Amino acid sequence: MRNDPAIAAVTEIPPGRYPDFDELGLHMRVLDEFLGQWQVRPSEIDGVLAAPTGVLTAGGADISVHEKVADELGVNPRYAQSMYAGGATYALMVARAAAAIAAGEADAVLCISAGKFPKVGASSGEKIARFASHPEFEFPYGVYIPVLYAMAATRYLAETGSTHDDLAAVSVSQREWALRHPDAFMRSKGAITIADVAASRMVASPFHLLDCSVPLEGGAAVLVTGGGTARRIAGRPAYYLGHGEAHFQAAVSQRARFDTGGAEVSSARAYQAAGITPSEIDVAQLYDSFSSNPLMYLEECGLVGRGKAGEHYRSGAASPGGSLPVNTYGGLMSFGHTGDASGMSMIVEGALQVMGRAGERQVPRSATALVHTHGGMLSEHATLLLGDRAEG
Amino acid sequence: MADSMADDQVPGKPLPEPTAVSAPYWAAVDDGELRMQHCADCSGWTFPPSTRCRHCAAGEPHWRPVAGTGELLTWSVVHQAPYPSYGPDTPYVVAVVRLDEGPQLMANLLDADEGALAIGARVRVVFEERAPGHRVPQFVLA
Repeated sequence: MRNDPAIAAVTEIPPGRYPDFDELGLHMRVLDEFLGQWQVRPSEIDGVLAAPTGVLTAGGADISVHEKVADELGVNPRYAQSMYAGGATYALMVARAAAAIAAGEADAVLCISAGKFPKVGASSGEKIARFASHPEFEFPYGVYIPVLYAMAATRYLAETGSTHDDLAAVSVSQREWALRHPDAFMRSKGAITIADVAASRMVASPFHLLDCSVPLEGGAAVLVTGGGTARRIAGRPAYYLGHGEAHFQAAVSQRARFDTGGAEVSSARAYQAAGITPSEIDVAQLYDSFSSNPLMYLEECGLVGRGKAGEHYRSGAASPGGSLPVNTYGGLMSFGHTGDASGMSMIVEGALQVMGRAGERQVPRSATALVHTHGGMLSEHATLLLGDRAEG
Repeated sequence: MADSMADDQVPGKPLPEPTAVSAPYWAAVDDGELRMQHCADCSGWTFPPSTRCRHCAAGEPHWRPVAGTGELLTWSVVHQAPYPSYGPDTPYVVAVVRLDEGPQLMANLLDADEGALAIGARVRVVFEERAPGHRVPQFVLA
């Protein structure tokens, strides 16, 4: 790609509870951290991509977050907007930023997120359920987010012969990674076993509590620049190799298939764009709102054969020291799920691994990273490929 | 599993809010009949309701009764309800079924023994009254 777009800098604030900050305030907190951590002057930033706030919280959405971020930076960008595709938003931001840089429409695009995930309770539960389902033909049946994902998982288990032990192995592996991440929310809870997952209370079959992500608050920023600037900022940046996306029916009940989540289509497009094959992937970050998703995505992205993902986890191949590590930051299940900002966490980690900045959890060979994100109820998919060299 | 709510009034559970386009669907359901939109041009079925056929984009597909039988595509047994009116039903089954004519619906699978749930299991529609004169379609194992 012209100008060799690359991720030059990433910052994520620790997932947790930030009672003194609203979502916009959290953006500013992310900005502070970002500017404190990296040698980047606000005046260098000429592009801002942000996402609406308040999508899942009371009070409604603010869709002009990019303007407020630019104001806070004190810049007048020549490229800016707020955009939304749920958890897939941020992989698409990086892709749009890379395209803008390749086209000469911007030199340095700041992609930023911050989110709060309200606790499921009497008031917010119904709002979230309404948001996630078809209001007329799904919502009246007692559905909410875990149920909608559970129906995909039921079908995946039946089609592949996988079991709940395979799902639980994902939770176990991700906790192992979280123990190596200083900011992982569940780090203090220690290691877990497959039996622990099975013994945690049932939420919606096949999901137990420990098959679910941890709803928290947080945010992150990713700066995408041309290769020259990225090398100056990072030394070893994470180059954008390509992306693929696919957008399917929003209503779960109307899907043609339930056992796959659309990563098959988006990853094939990403591999083609980048001119690489699945065998070249060293490390994978796979959106894991629930334990079933990384299993489905490992297979759909061509990283293991159909029905083999559970074995990949149970053999330790996804865990520290494994042959193809997955969700090396602990994932949304053990690092933390930051609501509408969650789709940023796996991009930050994918970039850190390629940049060689992942600390105690650094994977020895991390030249090429695959990041798969989804939004909605498995309806929007974006696969991002990052590498330690510019696309050929 | 929860006891059957079919044909009993269940106060408090959400009632669908029909639109101008979907009103004929809900009017039929209130009368104890499942109707879907069928296209005279391509014979395709459209659901959720629309002003045009989702297969060939022909205008205003017409309403036609369906048999109300189909098969189970997938499900989840829900142990934690999202809102209070479903709390007493836990554990309850949320399912996606495919009607024999083709359209897919989400509903609760009532009276189902968890061990009997299987992909492809035969199901048939029943109607659950949620307010006087207002029903929603539900399914039971056939």
